Amino acid sequence: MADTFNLGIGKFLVNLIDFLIDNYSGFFDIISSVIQSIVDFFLFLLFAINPYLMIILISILVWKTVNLKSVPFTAFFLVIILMMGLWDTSMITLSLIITSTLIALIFGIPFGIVKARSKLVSTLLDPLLDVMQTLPSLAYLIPAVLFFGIGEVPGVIATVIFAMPPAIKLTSLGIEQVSEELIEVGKAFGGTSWQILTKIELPTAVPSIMMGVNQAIMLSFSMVVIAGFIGSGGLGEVIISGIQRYSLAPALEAGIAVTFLAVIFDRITRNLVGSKI
Amino acid sequence: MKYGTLFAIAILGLAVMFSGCVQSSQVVEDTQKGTIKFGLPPWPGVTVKSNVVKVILEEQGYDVELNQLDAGITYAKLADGELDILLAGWLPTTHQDYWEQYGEQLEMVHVNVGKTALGLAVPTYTYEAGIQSITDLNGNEELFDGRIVGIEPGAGIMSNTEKAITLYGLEGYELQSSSTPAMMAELARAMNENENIIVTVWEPHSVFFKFNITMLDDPEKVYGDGDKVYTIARNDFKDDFPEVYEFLQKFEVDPSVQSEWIYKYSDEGMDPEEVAEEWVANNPELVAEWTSHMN
Repeated sequence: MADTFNLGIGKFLVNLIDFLIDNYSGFFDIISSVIQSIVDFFLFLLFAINPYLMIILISILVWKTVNLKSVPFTAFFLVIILMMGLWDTSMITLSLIITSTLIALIFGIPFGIVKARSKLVSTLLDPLLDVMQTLPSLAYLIPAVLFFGIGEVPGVIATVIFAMPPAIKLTSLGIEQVSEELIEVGKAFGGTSWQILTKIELPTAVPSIMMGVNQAIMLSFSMVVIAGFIGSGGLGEVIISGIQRYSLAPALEAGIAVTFLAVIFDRITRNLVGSKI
Repeated sequence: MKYGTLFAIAILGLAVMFSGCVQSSQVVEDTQKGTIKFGLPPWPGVTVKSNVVKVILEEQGYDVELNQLDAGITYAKLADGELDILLAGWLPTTHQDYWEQYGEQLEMVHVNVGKTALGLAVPTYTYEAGIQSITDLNGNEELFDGRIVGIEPGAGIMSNTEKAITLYGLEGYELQSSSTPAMMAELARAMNENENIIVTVWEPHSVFFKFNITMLDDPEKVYGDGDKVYTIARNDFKDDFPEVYEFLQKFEVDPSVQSEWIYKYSDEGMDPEEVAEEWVANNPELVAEWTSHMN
């Protein structure tokens, strides 16, 4: 192996990173502070609400979106998290997840629409989406620290990279599946392309788009632990700490908390528009 | 949709998976002298050091297995006899928690690195600007944004740093956990922008080769008086492999040698086995002395 010809790709990438840091650090600082303020806003919000009130609010949300039968389970899951003493930690994780999902959707849904409309964009975007979904997060976490420092921000960025592709793909898929007849009807009534998009295509594509939202949230949950390696805190930190010290009890409890939260948010987003997938 | 076909495919897939499991769990036959199993936390120093010992023992006809595991798991697996040796027992301070939990089933064979340092460090330009001791951190929170950049949550140096925050009354500081590579990246970023930063570091480690940083004084000795690095074995190892045990009683390296290993492995990107082979080839007298009783 040692005598194979080395292209020096890694060296090139390192030099590229250095170049970007030297010349655009101001730009990264702006991104960093924007993301940080979104995270801080949600942290403030989630910490301001009393845990019991929060349990009631989430239970009502589940009742309105899913059904009444699921409410006792929801309340039970949340009370367990509270009793394990992981409420505050869970709220940190939740604010990371909400921030990541929001950013993933703000960019993902428009990109999905464009991808559905344009063959060229679709061709260019597909390999990029594959890279985003398959590049091992541990490989780009450390470079992310060079750009954004340690803390919540690189964790959010890593999560967005991971969670955005399904939002783009499912939005695009939903629009592509709108039947030709419906679009013909829109054209027959003299609808502009914007009207056809907002009045016909998007409403018809809502179930698929919501599935994208749901997938973005679920993937965000799976990045929580990884983000603990770059100082994002929350439940990931508890899990890593437990594994480091080989004291499994806290790690398992934090794992249970992640799962409970993920299940609740999965059910809520899946049923938001009454689509049963 | 033909569900029957799908189901058959799923069953087939499972069958393939299980057959794979069965194959991979077949035990490899031992050679005559037996297999020594090392636990290997993912730190550069112990990685090269274990490879050096591996090269030496393989020359003597032993089989050597290096298992990369977290420190906590390594201690636990040594205690229940699944592993034989750990070459990186940082005692009495850093791994104190592990030792309290598992020490009864373990034995300190020998000190393999006689001097280490452990604690908080700042860039040398910060040190020269007057922050020279942990006590100087009080009242300078705004210099450092009130944060100390740490490594993996749960690591020994992290709990020691929490103790330091309490003992030195550093209420204005928060210890931020990350991971060792993230800490190094954050240090690189901060020094690139000439910022002040506090990091948790230890020696021997390549961080001192890579960055111009200086340790802060620790007058209260929170981080201990400098740990020693011990070779740790499970209790019965002495009886099972007396020759190897005797070799491990002689095996020790200079801190500067270990730092050089770390540098070659971490920063020059050499394969740890390569670093080990090179060093063993260059130090035949020392190796011969360590293994004299084996021939």
